[in-house]
Amino acid sequence: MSIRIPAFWQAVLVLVGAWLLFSFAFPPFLPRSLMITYSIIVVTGLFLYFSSDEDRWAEFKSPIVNTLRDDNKALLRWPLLVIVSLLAAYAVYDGVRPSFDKPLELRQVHPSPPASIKVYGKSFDLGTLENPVRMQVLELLGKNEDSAWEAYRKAVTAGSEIYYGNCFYCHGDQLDGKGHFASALDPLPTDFGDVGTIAQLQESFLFWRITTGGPGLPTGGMPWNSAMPVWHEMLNEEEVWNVITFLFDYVGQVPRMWDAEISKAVTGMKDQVAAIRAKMSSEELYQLRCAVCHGETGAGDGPAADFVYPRPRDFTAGLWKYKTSPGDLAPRDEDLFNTIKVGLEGTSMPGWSRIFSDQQIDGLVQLIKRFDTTAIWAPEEAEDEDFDDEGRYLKEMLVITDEESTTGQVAYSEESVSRGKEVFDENCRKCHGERGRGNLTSGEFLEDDWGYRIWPRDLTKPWTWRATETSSGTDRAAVDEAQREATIRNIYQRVSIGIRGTPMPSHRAVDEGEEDAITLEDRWHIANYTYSLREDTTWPGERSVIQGIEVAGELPAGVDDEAWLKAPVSTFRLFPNIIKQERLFTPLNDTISVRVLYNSDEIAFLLEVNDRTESIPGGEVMSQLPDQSETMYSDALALQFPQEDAYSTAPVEKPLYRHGDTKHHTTIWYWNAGSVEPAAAARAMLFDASGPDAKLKPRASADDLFAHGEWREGRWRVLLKRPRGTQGEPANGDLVFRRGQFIPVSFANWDGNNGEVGSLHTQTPWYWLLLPHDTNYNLVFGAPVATSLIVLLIGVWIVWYLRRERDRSTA
Amino acid sequence: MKILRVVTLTAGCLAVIAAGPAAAAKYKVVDVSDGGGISGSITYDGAAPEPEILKVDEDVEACGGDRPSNALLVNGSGGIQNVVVSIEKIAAGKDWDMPEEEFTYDQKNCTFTPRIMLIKPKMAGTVLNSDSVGHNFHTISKGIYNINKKIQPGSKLEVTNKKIRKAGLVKAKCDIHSWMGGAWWVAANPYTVLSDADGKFSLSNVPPGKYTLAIWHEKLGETRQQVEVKAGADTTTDIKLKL
Repeated sequence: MSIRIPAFWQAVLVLVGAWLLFSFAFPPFLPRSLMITYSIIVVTGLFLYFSSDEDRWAEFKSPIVNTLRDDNKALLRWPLLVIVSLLAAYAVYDGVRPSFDKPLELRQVHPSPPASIKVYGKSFDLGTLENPVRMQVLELLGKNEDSAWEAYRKAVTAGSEIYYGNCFYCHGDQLDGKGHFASALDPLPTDFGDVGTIAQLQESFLFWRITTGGPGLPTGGMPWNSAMPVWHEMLNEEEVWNVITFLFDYVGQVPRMWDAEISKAVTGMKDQVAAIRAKMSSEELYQLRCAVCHGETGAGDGPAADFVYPRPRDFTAGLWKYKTSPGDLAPRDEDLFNTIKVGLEGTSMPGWSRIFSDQQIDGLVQLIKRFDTTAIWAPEEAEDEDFDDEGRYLKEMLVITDEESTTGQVAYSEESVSRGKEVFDENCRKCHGERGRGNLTSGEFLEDDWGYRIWPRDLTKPWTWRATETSSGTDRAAVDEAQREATIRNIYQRVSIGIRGTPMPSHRAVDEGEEDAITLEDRWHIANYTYSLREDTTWPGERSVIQGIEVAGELPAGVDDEAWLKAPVSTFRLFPNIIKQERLFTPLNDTISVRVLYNSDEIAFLLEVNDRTESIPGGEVMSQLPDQSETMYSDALALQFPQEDAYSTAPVEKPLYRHGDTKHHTTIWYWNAGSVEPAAAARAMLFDASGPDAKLKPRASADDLFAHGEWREGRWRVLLKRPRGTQGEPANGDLVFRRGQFIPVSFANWDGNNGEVGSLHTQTPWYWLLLPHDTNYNLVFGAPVATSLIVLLIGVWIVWYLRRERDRSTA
Repeated sequence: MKILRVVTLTAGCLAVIAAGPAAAAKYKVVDVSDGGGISGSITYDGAAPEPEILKVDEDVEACGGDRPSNALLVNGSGGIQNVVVSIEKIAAGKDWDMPEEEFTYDQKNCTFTPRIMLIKPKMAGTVLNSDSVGHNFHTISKGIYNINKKIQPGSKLEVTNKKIRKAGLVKAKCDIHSWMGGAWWVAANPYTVLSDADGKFSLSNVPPGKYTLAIWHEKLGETRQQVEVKAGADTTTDIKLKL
């Protein structure tokens, strides 16, 4: 016998089930507003279903009517009415309270491609287009298997070189969308290893997405947020097909193909490659996955090496940055193992745990040790004959087991931090700066052991600390005490044994007859002080909407004004212009912080960028700092806004973030630090932009843009101020800074001492700025109270009505 | 295996690592009874350039002021000091006549003293800091482990005999005071000398034969010269170098 659930409870069950489904079945999660929309659809559907049949409707409503009418339900009825009216009040409150939720942006991940595209001076029919490289290989496969594989190998190798010279900064070393600039982008770059991406697509789709880039997306794909370059401007047709072939090869997937015969042949090749890869030796693994950066002989000179900073490790030199063995000893095998497994955050070295098994990593560690030419893993009694001509030890390598001691850890306290500051000033300041921003008060030009320029770590930015920081580096709140202690221990080890291959020296005595350069206790104090330097830092990602704060009266005229402390800081990651020629691959400044104040007439932005050098050509830059072989340019900063008619928030539409587009123009507020030689004062300028290919048009006058910048202790602070445009008609179509309006804004920075000028600069995608509405207390509290009273009254009336009807019918 | 080539892009080069070529022959000490000598002078070709003035912009009080660079020292008659002259790839010959005791390398007035030091592999020594400011003693070399250690005023660094295991060039620098420059030349064999203040050098007790002289100077680079040594006779060779 089956239990029949009453209609009303059926409806409740369906609604709860739907809500749970929406909450948990679509990872990561649906936005709230979408949940509400879906739920309303479900409720409407349920009503339609139950009201479509007279009996069903009667059954559905009977529990409701009973509760509201029956004498024995009074105890349930009245609390229920109160609860419903309170819920209504809350719903209204939720709707009218000031909200900082960003406008909803729903992006189609795989938008429908057009029927055809025009690139390389011809038209491509995307419906029939196939990868000519693959077609050629398949054709050969029928005739001569050897030459088919040869052609395939050639295409993959060529594609790999294109990928690592152009794509991996964002899409990642492992094609997982986690390139070293990826975290600055929104949306994140595509993870090709995800079976939901390229494995679902035809190669012609990839050809379309690559050749026309972000600007080639239809509106549903939100082209204005995409950082994907228009590759047909930089790569030729063959290069694009080679890189597509490489993508599928690397992730071990096959493209979607309609012809069953062809698909089978391609899958066959993929399976053969997979079978070989499943039993690769360490050497083969190294050559396949590592050599592109670290070089075929481990000298850190692979084809991608010149495009990354810091450069890939040279395994021949015996210089290992992050190790836990004592003093001058070679690293422990565990150190190399962990670096491979976890990667080095903030560099182009990813963690390999997704791709390599622990056993494979062990094999790579042994292989990497063999590259060394400095005998650090050779026993003392090794003879000259035990080395080859390059100095590589040929016999059994030492395994270092000793660990650098971390005894005597001093508790993290104010006293320790303040003692640490004293020792820091004496020993570390010359390189790391007065406040740890790495601004080299010694003014020396630093080089690593290979002669490449190197900069001291900015100690206020833990997310750039590689292996030293133990937290993920974006969420300060998530750092617990154990993580803090562990990070401090790592700092202590760096101070004690130095960072090999860099100018960071060791400070602990190793050999007999020496004394510690800094005592054990003071090294702990330094570690605690260094840890404390993060206290004033806003980490990128902590706040994603820039919230302006209203002030009464004048806005600040300087960067040190106390009023700035009222405005919350938002920090965003900068990424270099790798989108359009001429491109920058090795930026130094990685974040920009912004605060916004406004009054009835004006709006003011305080931009902060940690920049180790105050680059004013011909000015008092420290004598040794500039790179003599490069021209120094003026430091500069810019803000970009859409024009008033070039954006909307519902639905969201914005200009392309690199200088807008022909239909959506932008205005750029630009500040330049000026120069002494040639003489040019620091200045503010306004530019009109109408597309990535259009030349920027400087405005004849920027009189209404006030700008003032100061560089101090490794940081630029620049104030930019302009009328909000709320008084009268704003000129030139400029955006009006209205209250309650979400406004797109993006940022750019030029580090003149890093050769940054013109298109060589760092930038951010669009972020939202909000000048909050005044809180209308009558509305925020009045409306919910009124609503609950009305709902309650209606409820009481319904009860009265139902009871009267019942009494009439019984009478 | 044709597919193998797809995955092992360039595995070939690794074979070299796995079975490396025969190691360089070790220098053998033998009795040299009928040795000859090589001597000569090293002079600057043309008018020597004025020494560069090094700008001292950090710790001026402790270091002293700006100073002429001592990287290229040329005397009045053109003789160049601190040129390393050695016989290349000599397999056997006289015993080492370098002092057995430890070397001492000093940092004084924020200058390395001496500028160029000749040592032999597995030699131990001490690096001193005679200044009133700390130095980052940092060595750069190829195939020899680099040292990088903070040395506080009056303190020292011990270089144990395990550190410098091979012949070659070890450059010294201080990351805090970039004008400081120096080098250790780790000799491959006893036929290695430094030219004196007049640019003169002499190698004695060389077994008769044809040799290649390697001549290295910090600024003027490396050159080679063929010489022939006859039993009991002194061969003179004069070398001219320029920038």
